[in-house]
Order: sequence, then C-alpha cells, then structure tokens
Amino acid sequence: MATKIKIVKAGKSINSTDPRDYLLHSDYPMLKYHNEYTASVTFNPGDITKTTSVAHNLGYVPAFVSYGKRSNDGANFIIPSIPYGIGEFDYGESWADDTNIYFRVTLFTGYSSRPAGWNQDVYDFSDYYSSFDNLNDHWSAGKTSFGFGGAFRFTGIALTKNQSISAADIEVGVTAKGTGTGDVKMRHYGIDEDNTGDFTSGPMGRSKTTAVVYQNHSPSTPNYNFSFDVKSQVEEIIARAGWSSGNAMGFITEDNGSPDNVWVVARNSFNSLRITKPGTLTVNFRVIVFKDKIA
Amino acid sequence: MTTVFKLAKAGKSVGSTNPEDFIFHSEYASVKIVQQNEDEEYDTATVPASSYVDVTITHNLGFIPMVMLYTEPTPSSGRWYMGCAYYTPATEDTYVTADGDYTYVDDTYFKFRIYNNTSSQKIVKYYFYIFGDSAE
Repeated sequence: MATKIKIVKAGKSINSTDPRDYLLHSDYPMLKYHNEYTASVTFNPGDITKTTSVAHNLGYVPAFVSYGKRSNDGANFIIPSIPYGIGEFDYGESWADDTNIYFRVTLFTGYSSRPAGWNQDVYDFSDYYSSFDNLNDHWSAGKTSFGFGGAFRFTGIALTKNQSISAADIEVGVTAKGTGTGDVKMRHYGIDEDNTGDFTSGPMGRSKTTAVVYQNHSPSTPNYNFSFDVKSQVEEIIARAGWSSGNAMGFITEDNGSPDNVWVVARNSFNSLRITKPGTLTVNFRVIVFKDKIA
Repeated sequence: MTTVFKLAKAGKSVGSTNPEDFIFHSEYASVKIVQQNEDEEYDTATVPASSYVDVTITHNLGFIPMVMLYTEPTPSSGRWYMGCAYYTPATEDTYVTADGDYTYVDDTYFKFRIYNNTSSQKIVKYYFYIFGDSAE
C-alpha cells in the first residue's frame, strides 16, 4: 500500500477526491521554483524590434512564466497577453530553450506597408505636383531640354510648434527615369507656410524656406526608392508663428543643373515623409523559472 | 490552537511572515498538478500544411481548472512558448490560437487549436499542466 501525505483544507474531508480540497497531496506534484530573472530592452528612435535573454542554466527546457512590466503603472502582465503585449501598439513574446529565456518586443507599426519605429512617424503624401507639365498627378525632378521640379504635400503632421526632432526625410518611389547619363541635381525646400493648401493650384511659386538641401542623385532602373533629408526644412516650418500640430506641410524640389534628359518621376507610387523624434522607450521583463522539465 | 505545517527555504526562518520564504506553508494553498503529459514527456500534434489541428485533453475534473500549455511552434527549433496568441511570431511556423472558440478549458476538457501557416505539414511538440485548482 502506498504511503501518502495529505494536508486538507479546514472543513474538508481527508478522504475527499476533489484536489481543490487539499493544501498538499502527494498524488499531485507542484511546480518547483528555480529562480526569478529580470531583463530590459531600450528602444531608440526608429527601432522596431528588440530581443534580450537571461540564462537559466538548467540544461533543459523548463516550465516558466514570463511577464512584461508596464512603464506607466508598473503592472506586470503575462506574456503573451492578448492580443498584444506591452501596449496597444505592440506585442511581446517570450520563449525558452535549454539555456535561456528570451524576450522580444515588436512595436506594432500599423498596417502600412512601410513600418515606422519607436518615436517615428510616417506620413503618406496627400498631394504631389510636377512643374514639367504643371500637373498634380505625379512628382518629378531633373531636366529634359529644360529643368523642372516637383512638390509634395503631407497632412496631419503631429508636431507641436518648435518640437524637437532628430531626423526627417522624404522617400520617393521612382517609377520612370530619363535616358541621359549623370546625376539628377536637385534643391529641396520646404514650403514656408503654416498650413499649406492642396495642389489644385500649383505650389511651385509658394514661399520657400531658407533651409535648403542640395542633392545629386544617380537614377537606378525603376521602380526603386530614394530619399532626401528635410530635417532643417521641417524645423523651419514648425518654428513659424502660426504653426500648430495637425497642419499640413509641403516641400518643393527644383532642378539644380541636371544634364539633359536626366530626370526621375514618381507616379502612382508610395511617397512618404518620415519624422523621427528623440527619446527612448525601456521595456522591462520578469520571468519565473521552474525546475520542471518540459523538453 | 491551529496546527500549521511549514517548510522554510534554506537560510530562511520558519517564523518568517514572508510567504516567499517557504517551500510549503499550510496557510497558503499550493497549485497542485493533477495531470500532465504521460511519463512527463511532451506529446506531439500533426498539423496539416496551411491548416490546423484541434487537440483535446480530457481531464474529467468536474470543474474548470487552471491550465498551462507550452509548445515548440517550429519543430526542432528548441524554442518553447507558453500560452497562445492571435498572431504567428514572425520566426515561427505555427501558433496556438487565442480564439476562445477553439482554445479553452471547461469542466471536462482542455482544448486548443494549432494553426500551421506554412505549406508543409508540421509536427508540433506540446507540454501541458492541468492543476487541481479552479480557474473560475
């Protein structure tokens, strides 16, 4: 006859067949605590995914329970939480192997095809314009027998007046190029207005920022993307007295001496403004590891 | 006088008032494992390509117990995840859905569904614990 050890809850029978009635019952093993570990990751602007690990030194895959720790209220929550982990915009994962417990956080970048990382916003263009034929159905820059340029407009820019930014650039989706050789030479300005209007009226004559960025770009075979820096132009626009968050901003590109038939066009493509702001995000983890082997 | 049964951790006082200092303390109910994989070895589920498999574990406890589940979503990867999700981790082949229609525990069964997002059959290892403590 097997010897058993039982400690029954107050008011319950020592002969009960309900495991809930026992504080301890030698027929029912318990998870055996091994250790508790903590770890953290820090997201810098633009980071999307961060992974870290802690060593449990057991030599096999143990049972474990991982937690993320919210930065706003210090609450611990089990990973994976449903549907996402660290906040409403991201998710966390945790897994074990025979040496480590791993944590990974991936920021939820939205359903856009072009993800943005921590403290980084990506805006799809709302308007574009080409001075080649004065039409608002594409963007262009370069020269055929004459130089021409283009403009982009982005709406709903979530920057307050004089807000600090660490980077800003525009990514252009090139869909065609000229047959000439050499670089497309460009001057990129901001439109020096508080809330620049749409491009149903041509934007090329609008006031330009004093901030300007010069770029020589060697065209590749379309389709491809290239980008240009607009940080100083954005800073000048959001420093305007009448700027407020949610306004629209625009950018004008002019030819700066491209060779004949060296040009690029963006039509029916993704064109975006990416703004990166300073500041980091630290995500903390905790894991309780048991000595119980699962694999 | 109430009799109390205590087992203190090495280096801790049996008179401690900190529950963390005890391996067992009869004033604090412990979570009891009433069922886990046979012989304490993981089981496997075969998940057809681009499809899913439902796994059913019968516990017959008559109440809804707490459960824990671990899976190795990519066979032979050595990476074991706890629980379920609404998404496939980017680097893994399969996942246990968090959809409550397919992954749940009742007073008789623990069921979970494994989705295979790859175009080849996967044999997924899993390990479960069913506890003799109510989740209700």
